[in-house]
Amino acid sequence: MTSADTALRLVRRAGKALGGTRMTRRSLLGRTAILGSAMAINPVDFAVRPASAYDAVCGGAASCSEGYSVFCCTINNGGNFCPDGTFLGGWWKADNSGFCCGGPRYYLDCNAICGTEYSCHCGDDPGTCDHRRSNCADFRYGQCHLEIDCYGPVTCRLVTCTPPWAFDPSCTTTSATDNDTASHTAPCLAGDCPSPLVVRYYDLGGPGGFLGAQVGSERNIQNGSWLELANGGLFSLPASGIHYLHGPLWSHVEQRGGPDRFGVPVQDDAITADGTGLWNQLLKHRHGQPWITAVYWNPVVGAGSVSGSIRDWWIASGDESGPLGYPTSDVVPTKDGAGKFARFAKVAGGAVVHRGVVISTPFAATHGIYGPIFEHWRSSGREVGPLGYPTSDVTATPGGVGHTATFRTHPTSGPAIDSAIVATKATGAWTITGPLLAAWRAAGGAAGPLGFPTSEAGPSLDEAATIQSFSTVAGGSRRHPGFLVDHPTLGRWPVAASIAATWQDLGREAGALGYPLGERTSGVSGATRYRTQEFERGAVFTSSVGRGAALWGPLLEAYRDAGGPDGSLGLPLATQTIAGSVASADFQGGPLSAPA
Amino acid sequence: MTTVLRGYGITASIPKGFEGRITHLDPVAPLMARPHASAPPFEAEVTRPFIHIANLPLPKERDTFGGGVVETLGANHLFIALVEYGPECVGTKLFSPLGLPRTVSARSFSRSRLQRLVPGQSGYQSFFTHNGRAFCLYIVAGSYARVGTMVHQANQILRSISISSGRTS
Repeated sequence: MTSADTALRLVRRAGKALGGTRMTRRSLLGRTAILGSAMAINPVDFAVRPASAYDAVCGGAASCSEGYSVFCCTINNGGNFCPDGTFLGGWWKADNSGFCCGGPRYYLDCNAICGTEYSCHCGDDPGTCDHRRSNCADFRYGQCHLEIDCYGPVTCRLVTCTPPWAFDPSCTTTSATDNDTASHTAPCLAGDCPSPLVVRYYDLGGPGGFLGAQVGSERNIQNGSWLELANGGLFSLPASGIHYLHGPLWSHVEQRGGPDRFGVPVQDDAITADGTGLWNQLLKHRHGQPWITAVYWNPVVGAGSVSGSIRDWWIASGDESGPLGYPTSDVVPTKDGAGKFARFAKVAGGAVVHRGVVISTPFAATHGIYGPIFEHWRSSGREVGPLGYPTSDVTATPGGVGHTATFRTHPTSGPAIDSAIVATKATGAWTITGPLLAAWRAAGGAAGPLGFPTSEAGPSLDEAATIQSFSTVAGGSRRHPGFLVDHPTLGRWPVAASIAATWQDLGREAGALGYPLGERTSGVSGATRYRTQEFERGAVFTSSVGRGAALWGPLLEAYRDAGGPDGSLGLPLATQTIAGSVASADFQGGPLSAPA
Repeated sequence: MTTVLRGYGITASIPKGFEGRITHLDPVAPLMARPHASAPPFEAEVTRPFIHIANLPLPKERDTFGGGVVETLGANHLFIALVEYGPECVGTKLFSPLGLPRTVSARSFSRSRLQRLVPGQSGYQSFFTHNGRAFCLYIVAGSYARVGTMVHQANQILRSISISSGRTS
C-alpha cells in the first residue's frame, strides 16, 4: 500500500467515524424508528399492502431463518461497502426492481478473506429489521476478484443500481440472476427509485461511508445539482458526471465561499502524482467562459488552490512534483493590488523543504520563485519592497552552482529598477541592484571572475562609494573574493580574484592602494602572461611568477621608470615590503628598492 | 429411460426421475446507460447458459443458482447447476482447476455451502475450466443426512456430461 493510499484511507476513516457516530445514535432510536422509515422509504407499499412495517422497510426474507445474507450497511455503521477483512467475491441482479426505477438492482457479496476470523451469526439489533445472516453461507458468485481463489463465507452484501463492472473494475460482465431477492432491502439503503446523485452517494458508501450523512436535500448548482454531506459534497453536472469533493479539500472550499465561489468538481478527489496528497478540479463559469480552480491538500502543509495564469505556470513547472510543491493558499491579490499570487511549499520526507510563490502582474507576467531566493525577496518586503515583482523564474546559474531570479519595481512606484537575487549554498542569497547589476553582468555575471554576491551592496569604508563583495565558488566552497566598487567620480569597477585578495589584505579602499581606477588588463612580459589593475595609489600584478603582487608609491614609479613589465625587471614576484624608510620588492630580473 | 440434454456445446444424460433444462436469459439494460452525458455508455451485461438438473419438476422461473427451486427441495431431492462464465475467467486463479468434477464425495458437501441457507440442505460448489471454458458447478442436496446416497446420482449425471471447446456466446 502506498503512502497516498494510506492518506486516502485515513481521510476516509475520519469521515466514516463521523458517519458512524450518527448511525450509532440512530440505531439507538430502536424499533420506534422502523415505522417512520417504512413511511419514508416505501410509502406506497406500506400504505396499501397488508404488510408489517418491517416488511416495508426490509422487504422479504429479512429474518435470520430465511437464510439470506445481511446487507453490509446494517452491520457496517450504515456503510454500503465491504467491511475490513472481506472482498467482493461476485454479484447477481434482480430485474425490474422498483429500487432502481424499474432497472436491474445489483447485489455484490463481500466474502471473508481466507485467514480472517469470522463467525456465523444472525442480526439481533433492535434498531433495524435486517436480521439476516452474516458469515454463514460459504458460497461465491465468482465474477469479482478472480485472482482470489481462497475465500470464506459471505459476510454481507452491497446494493447498487450501477453495473458491478462499473462499480468495481475487478468484476466481470457475466451476469447471474436471483429475482427472489428483488424485495430485499434495509433501512440504511436508498429508497425507491433514487436520483442518479443518490445512487452514486450509496455507491460511495452512503451515510456510513467516507462522505458521511446527508446534510440537506438535493440542490441546484450551475446546470446540475448537488448534495451537501457531513464530510463533503457530491455534485452532478450533465457534461462531467457525478463527482465528490470531500475531507480536507471540501473543508478548504466550504470555509472560503463554498462551491458557489470555487465551482463544481469535474472529477473525484484523486491522489496527487507524488503520492502524498489529494487534489480535485472545480469548474465554474466566469463571463461565460469555463474557469478551473484546482484545489490541493497535503498532510504537511494543508490545503490551497490555484487558478488562471498562476495555475498554468504551476502546471508547466511540474505541479506538486515541480520545484514549487503544493499550494498553501488560494490565489489572492498582491499587497499593492497590482497583481495576484499564491503561496506554495515543497514537501519531501514529511517536512517542508522550502516555500515559494507564483506571482502574476500585467507588467511582469507570471513567474515562480522559491527557496532562498524567495526567502530573501520576502524579507526585503516582497513586491512592495525595493525589489518589486519577479521578472523571471528561478533559473540555474551557468554550471549549476547557484540560482538566480530577476526583479523590477512596479512602474507606478517611479523609474523601474532592475535587480537580481543570486544564491548558492556556499554564499547565501543576496541582491544585486541597478548599476551594480549591470556591472556584474558586464563582468560575466556568476560565470565571470566575480562569481556570486556574498553581501548586499553597502557604503565603502570612507562612505565615498558603494561596494558589494563577491566570491567565486568551486567544489561547493568559496574560492576567490571579488568586489564591485561604484565611486561617483572614479567610476564603477570590479576587483576580482588574486588582485581582490591583495586589495582586501592591504585594507581595500582605505589601504595603500585606494579605489580602483579601471578594470584589470592583460599583458605579456617576456614569455609570462600577467594581469594588472590600477588603483588610486598603486597597482596589482598577478601572474604565474607572482600572484597578487602589489606595488605603490615611489617603488611603483621606479618600476615603471625601469620599463615596468616590459623592462628588464620583468614582473614582481610578491607585494612590496617596507623596512624602515625603504620599500623593496623582488622581480623576475632582480630586486628593486625605493624610498617608502 | 435416459434423455439427453444438449445445447451450447454441452451434453448431459438425464436419468429417469430427473428433469434438465438449459437456459440462456436475455441481457437487461442497466438503469443508467452511461455515467454522464459525455461519457461512453456502460458495457452491457453478458448472459451465459446455465444448466439445471433436478429430481423434481423445474419451475419455469428459475434463478441462476436455483432460486425458485432449492427452497422447494424435499429430503430426497437433488439439484445440480452448471453455470458458464466468460472467457475472461479462463486462466484466472479462481477458475484454475482443470476439468469438470466427475465425482463428488459426501464429505465435500456442507450445510453452509449454500447460496441460500435452508435448514436440512447441504451444498457443494467448485469453479473450474473445461476445454477452455469456465464454469461453476453447484449442487444442493435436500437432506444432509441423505447426501451419501445422493452423491451417487450426482456422480452418474456428472460422468455423463460432455463439454465441447470454444465459445458459446
